[in-house]
Amino acid sequence: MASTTTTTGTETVQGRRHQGPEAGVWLERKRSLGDQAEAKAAVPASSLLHNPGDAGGPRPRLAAAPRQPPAKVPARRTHQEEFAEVLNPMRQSLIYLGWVLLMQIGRVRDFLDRFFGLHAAGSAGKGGVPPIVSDSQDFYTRRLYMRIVDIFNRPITSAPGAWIDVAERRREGDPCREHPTPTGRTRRCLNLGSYNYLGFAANDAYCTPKVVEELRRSGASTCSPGADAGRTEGHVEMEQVVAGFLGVEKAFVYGMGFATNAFTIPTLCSKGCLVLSDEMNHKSIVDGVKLSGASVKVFRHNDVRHLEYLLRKSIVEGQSRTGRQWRKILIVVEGIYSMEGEMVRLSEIVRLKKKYGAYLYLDEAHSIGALGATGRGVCEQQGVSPRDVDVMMGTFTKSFGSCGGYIAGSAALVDYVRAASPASYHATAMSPPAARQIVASLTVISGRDGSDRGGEKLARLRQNANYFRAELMRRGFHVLGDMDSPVVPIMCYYAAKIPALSRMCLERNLAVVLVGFPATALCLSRMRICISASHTREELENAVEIIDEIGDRCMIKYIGERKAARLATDEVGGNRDTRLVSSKSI
Amino acid sequence: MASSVKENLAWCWERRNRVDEIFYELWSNVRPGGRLHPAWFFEAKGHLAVELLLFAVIFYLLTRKSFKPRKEKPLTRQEQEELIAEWTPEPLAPSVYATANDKQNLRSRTKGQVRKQIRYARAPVVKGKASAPHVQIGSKRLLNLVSTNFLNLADSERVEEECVAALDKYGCGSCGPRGFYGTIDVHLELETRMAKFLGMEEAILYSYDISTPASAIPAFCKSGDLIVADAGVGYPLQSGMALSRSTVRYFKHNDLGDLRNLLDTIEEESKLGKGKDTQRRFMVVEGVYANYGDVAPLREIVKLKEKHGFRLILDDSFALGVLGETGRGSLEHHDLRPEQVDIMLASLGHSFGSVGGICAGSRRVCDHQRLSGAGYVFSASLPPYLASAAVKSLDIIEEEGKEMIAELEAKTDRLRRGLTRALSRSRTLRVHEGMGPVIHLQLVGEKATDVSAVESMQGLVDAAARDGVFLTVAKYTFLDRYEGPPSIRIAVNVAHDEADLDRAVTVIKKVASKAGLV
Repeated sequence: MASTTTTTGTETVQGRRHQGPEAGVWLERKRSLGDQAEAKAAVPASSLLHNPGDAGGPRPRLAAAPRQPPAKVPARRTHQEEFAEVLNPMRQSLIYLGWVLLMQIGRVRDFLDRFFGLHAAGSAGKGGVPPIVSDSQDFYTRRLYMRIVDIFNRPITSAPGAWIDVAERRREGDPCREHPTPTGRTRRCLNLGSYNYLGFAANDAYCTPKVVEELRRSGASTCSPGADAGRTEGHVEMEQVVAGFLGVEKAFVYGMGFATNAFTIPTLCSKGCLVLSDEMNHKSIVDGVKLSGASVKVFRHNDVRHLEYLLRKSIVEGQSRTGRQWRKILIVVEGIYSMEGEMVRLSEIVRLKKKYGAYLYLDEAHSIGALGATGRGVCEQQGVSPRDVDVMMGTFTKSFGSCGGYIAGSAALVDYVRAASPASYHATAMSPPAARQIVASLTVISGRDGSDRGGEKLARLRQNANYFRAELMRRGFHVLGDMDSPVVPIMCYYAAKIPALSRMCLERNLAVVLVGFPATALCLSRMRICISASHTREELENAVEIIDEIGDRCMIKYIGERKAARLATDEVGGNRDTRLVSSKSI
Repeated sequence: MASSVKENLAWCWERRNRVDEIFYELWSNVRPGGRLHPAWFFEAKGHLAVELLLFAVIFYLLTRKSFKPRKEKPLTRQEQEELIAEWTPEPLAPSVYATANDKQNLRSRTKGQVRKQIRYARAPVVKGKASAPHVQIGSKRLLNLVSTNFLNLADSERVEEECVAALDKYGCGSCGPRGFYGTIDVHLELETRMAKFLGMEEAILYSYDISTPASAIPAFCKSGDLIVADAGVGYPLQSGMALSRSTVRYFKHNDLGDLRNLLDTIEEESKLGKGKDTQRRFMVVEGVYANYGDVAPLREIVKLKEKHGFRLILDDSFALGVLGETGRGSLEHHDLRPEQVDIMLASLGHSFGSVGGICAGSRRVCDHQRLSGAGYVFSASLPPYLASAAVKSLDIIEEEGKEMIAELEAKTDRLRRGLTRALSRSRTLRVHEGMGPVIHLQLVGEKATDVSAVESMQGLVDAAARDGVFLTVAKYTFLDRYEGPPSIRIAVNVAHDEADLDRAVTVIKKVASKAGLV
């Protein structure tokens, strides 16, 4: 275990180097992150880490760090700037060189295949019909993705709980064409990949009997859209419970999270409307905007100044060709960005939206249930009234262990969306047992089931996430995202490290998710870990040890350990809202 | 100068009879060295005059005020603030109960639609099983002709037990997309089983029916590609085509003549050089049209698509499990080979009594979607218990599908014939010709284009509900590009008694004649 006191010679040198001027930048970043959470009390780091054994003796505390008034807080660094430190030009060119190499090897393989006539690269259709997927379109899949296909789509044979049985697969034949085949054996792994934030994924003592009961009462499917016969009493109850939980007037539920965005946005916007969308927004939002026919402008990730600039400019200049005024402007943001683990700067965006008369669409796919003292999402976390958000959207797949998504807000809005959404007429209504799962898990979260399991889950999730993030940062990984967010991306940058990391983790019984292009930018490949309330401290400690070891072997500790250790001690623990953690003893 | 000219003229006049002399004199003036020759002019510093003139012109050009469009000053902060303060956005959601203020904001098309959808939005709330042959709404027990639970598998005990087992084993949700540990063994089982059932190489499972075409079509059709589609296709396919950014051309619903004309036009255009050689061409049709209840002439369509080098995208949602002797859908019904349909889409929410969508095709087609199908890659996978339900349904269809489908066909025929007979004298209401367990009662004639058409259909439905028969109007949103004629959609369940169906005919006849439609 890397400790703050014992370092080898090289590490010391490295540490010193990293304590140069950049350290100040890091401090600044972390502090501004901390202020955003508006902590009430500074709690020592050791209480956050909650494990005296780990703390490595008494640490210098920065308890007396002067808390600056919010007005003086330097603007938080934008997404791009955050990487400036690690991603120096040298490293960046090496990463690109790696891609070029991979591409060229692919091209050579294409050439050899064609030369020896092993198989045509693409499958041209019969009679001169162009291939259904063109060769160039398919190149990435064929020559890059297929070679590491074993690290994606890994089948599991159990519930996606804290531990999963991952099916072992064997690769045979041409790795560019053949998918791996299951061997029949499974491997029990710690699940750091599923979005099981509150641990409702597996069979739950309270929820599952209720779900089974609903199944017997209402069947697995309504076989009808919501507007025809698909609306059962269970659905009505669920929509009321969801609206009540969120603190809004009404809610309308879809059977799939992706469809919620993709088919709601077209009902709200059309030609002549403007959508201002964060650059890291999910594909479903992109599809929804595409379907709507509205114009779209993309603002830099979480950059409120850029958003304001675009808002002002758009309102002043009007529509681009006709110069007419925009019919309406919709700002679309996410609560937690799923690939970055970062929270939206909601209060500032709400202020902007009010100032300029725009509407706000908040996608809480990852944050609902996972953030806030009572799990009410990013609004609660940042102290924003849900009534200030025009359209609340979220999914039930993640924290609640069900499926589907909701649109919530004022009664007028929800009534309209229900009436106008194609999903009301052309899609099967949500499966009634899934609706019951939502009601049951919300009952547990709000503590109406007669136990304090809900609060415990929320506290444990926060504690786990903060522990894990702090521990990884302390060990020198470049970890993205905000504290309290259960999504912990660890940057590995080099595309070639993706398969190595994933396979090594699987060998050590860790199921993690690795993402690269096209889900991220070319040079920002990362390992993404989703923390769950169902993980125990020992499991996470063990996982950290393993990732630490693999991180050393794959050389992905881009922040010097000494500096990182100090940062973790001084900054991560200091300014956090850790009241929940300290009040609960789990 | 003038005098010399005069002298010259006088000199000419004197020698008027001596033309040759005159010409000689003229020539002597003009020839090199003559006084009218340009060289003489320049020798005598005449060029200075020309240069002076040029200088004058240049001076004029330099000194005259050049044309400059007046540069607009950028807006001042205050002007910007004024503009921002002046801007009044439209309401985010037009109030469903449109008030005077909202009315002017709604576009005319939307306005009517929104009002129409007020009625739609008041959906009945079902107690208990919504898919069962009889449903409980409020205090009333109604004959359910709405749910598309054709083979009554959603109500089947065996499927239910399978679901309970799956819930126990896997929990409710899958908590992740397929790529990231959301692939559970039952998903794979359903995919292989479904592919085998359809005779296709592979199948790919989506977690929602409406997102299946909206993901599968844009995965293959790109901008620059061409789609020829039936104008009767439902919204899921329409949204897929809209997302693909391809050129979409529609032919009249189920009109082969129109399709042939369209294909010939396209052929001619491509001969003229419009459209590239690399352009992929697709034909989009439904096996049984959800909005009409009729069957696409697939044999002819397949012939045409092979002749013109198109690929066929077929939505078989309402045919799979109910058409063909063993329920293999349009493929079996039209006696087609599986490879003749390139991309086959189907919802699991009808005869399979589950939720979700499936896309079947060649390995290449399915493989490509595993990285490019938006709804597959970016969405959580289907809850495992619903996949188990579909697998069990497939088991049942494979075991006893033949008998069930024969029975369903007989019952549908009975209802269809009964309704046709009952409405034979009606000039405004008629049973749309078709096959399969979906029957559309269409409003025809002038009433169909009337603004109140939907309202009157809804009136029929409400009246039938009072008499114990649950029906529904075929509903569309303002996003639908084409919608079917106003109609009532009737879905037959294999578990319906014959007496039930006869009662439905009687009730429909009664309410229709009460409304003056028979």
